[in-house]
Amino acid sequence: MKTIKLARVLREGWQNFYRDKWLTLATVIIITLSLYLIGVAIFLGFGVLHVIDSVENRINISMYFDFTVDENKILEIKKELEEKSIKQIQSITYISREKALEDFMKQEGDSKEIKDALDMIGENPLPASLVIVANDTSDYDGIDKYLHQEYDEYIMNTNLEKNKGVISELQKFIVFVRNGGILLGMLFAIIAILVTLNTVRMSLYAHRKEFEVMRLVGASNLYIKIPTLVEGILYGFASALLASMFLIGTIFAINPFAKQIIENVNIVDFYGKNITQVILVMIIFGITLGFISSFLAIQRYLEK
Amino acid sequence: MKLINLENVSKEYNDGFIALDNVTCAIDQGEFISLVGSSGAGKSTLLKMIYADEFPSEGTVYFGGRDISEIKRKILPHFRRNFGTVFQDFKLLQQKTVFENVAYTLEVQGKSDAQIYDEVHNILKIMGMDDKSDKYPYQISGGEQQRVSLARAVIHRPRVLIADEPTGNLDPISALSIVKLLLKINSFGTTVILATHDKSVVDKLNRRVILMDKGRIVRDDMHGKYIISG
Repeated sequence: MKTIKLARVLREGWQNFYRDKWLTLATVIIITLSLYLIGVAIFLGFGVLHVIDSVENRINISMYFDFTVDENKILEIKKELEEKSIKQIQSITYISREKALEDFMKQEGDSKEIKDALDMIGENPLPASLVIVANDTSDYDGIDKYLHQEYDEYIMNTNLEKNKGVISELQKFIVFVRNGGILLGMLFAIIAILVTLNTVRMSLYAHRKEFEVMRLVGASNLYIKIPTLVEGILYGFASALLASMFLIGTIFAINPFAKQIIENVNIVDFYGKNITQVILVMIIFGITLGFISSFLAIQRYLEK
Repeated sequence: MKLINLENVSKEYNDGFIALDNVTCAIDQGEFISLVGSSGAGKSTLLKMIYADEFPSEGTVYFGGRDISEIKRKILPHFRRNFGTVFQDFKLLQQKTVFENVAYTLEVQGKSDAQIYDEVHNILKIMGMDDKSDKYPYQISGGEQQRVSLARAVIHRPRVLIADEPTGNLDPISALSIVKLLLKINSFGTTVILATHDKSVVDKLNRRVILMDKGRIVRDDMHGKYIISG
């Protein structure tokens, strides 16, 4: 008897969902919009984090060595730093004097004037360096101090002094964007939850008289409740699927424009890596939201 | 022992309105009772007390010797299966077909599909609605909807059929057919309590009539007519 009843309440929930097509359509559209909003927030968040990462990776300090320090000594220092495995340091790259000159020429587009000037000097005027990338932009100060403390006798200078202002500005900006993004994402999520709660409540309100009838013909609270929970889950699931489709469509639609604005960016490739996770999260979120909404909404129609 | 006993039952709502004022009456198994009186006289409230949709502020309602207010909340759905209810506005589930509406009563009781199929078609035949079992409520007339509602109310063979203004929305011919069905149901032993405004219906029945006014029972005749003033 229990299994018969379970099968029946599941069928009831499904019937509520697909027979009242207009109500279902209206409900699903509104929940879809809320979930879509959340999805856009998540994608924007991913994008911004990616941009921040790439900006952060471009920040580094160069430790320029006196011309008297030979290559072996520099490599020794590099090895030493690496072996100490200082946790603030992400990577160390050695740039020899020749490589520095090569990079410089490339940067200047092999201009003739520069070549002439270099010929006049007669030797390579650029020092060798170690390029150090920190894990966090706020660590550069400490790293710089450490380098000066340990290797001051070899160092010509570091470029931190010059870049200090830019780095700290950038660091403030990154913190601002991160916190702002988290706040905005939470705001979107709260709006979506409230909208869904109210939407499900209104669609159950449309059925309020039927709950009374069900009670009168002897249906227990559970027998009334489970179909509405199933209905809520179906609303959430359908909305999550639709919202995911719209999200994917949006990505494909704006890809050509994004390519024009930022070179070498393909957001379809970029988001494609995360798309299954995002859809999964959306579906789980949608189902949970639908379930909780209908659970809260049905309470008032049940016998106290 | 009577089937239903109301002893000094009063009902006062939160806003201070007194719907029932010290009502005492007894109803036997198998009776056919017409409950008459103007709007707001307390008919619907009295009926709700009987099928435990509301509970008295004072006094006691007994069903089969048992105090209704002492029934546990969990048992109430089972207790209500002693009753069938019919209303002026039919109260059919709009998203279900005629068949499904009637079947619902048996489904909540956990009856098997085969049994439900047989019993629903049987009762729909009796009500003359079997050929419309696949229609939705909005596809049939008011009189037909009320017959479906009646089928739903009696399919589980309740001990008491409660009909609150069942003919209120119907033309005279449909109304007459509903009353005939009520009599037929009563003839199988089901107690019928009919609240109505319909003078012609009550006079034709020549059964017990209870007249209510301002929450009190003012007349109780074993073979009554519909007389408001008196």
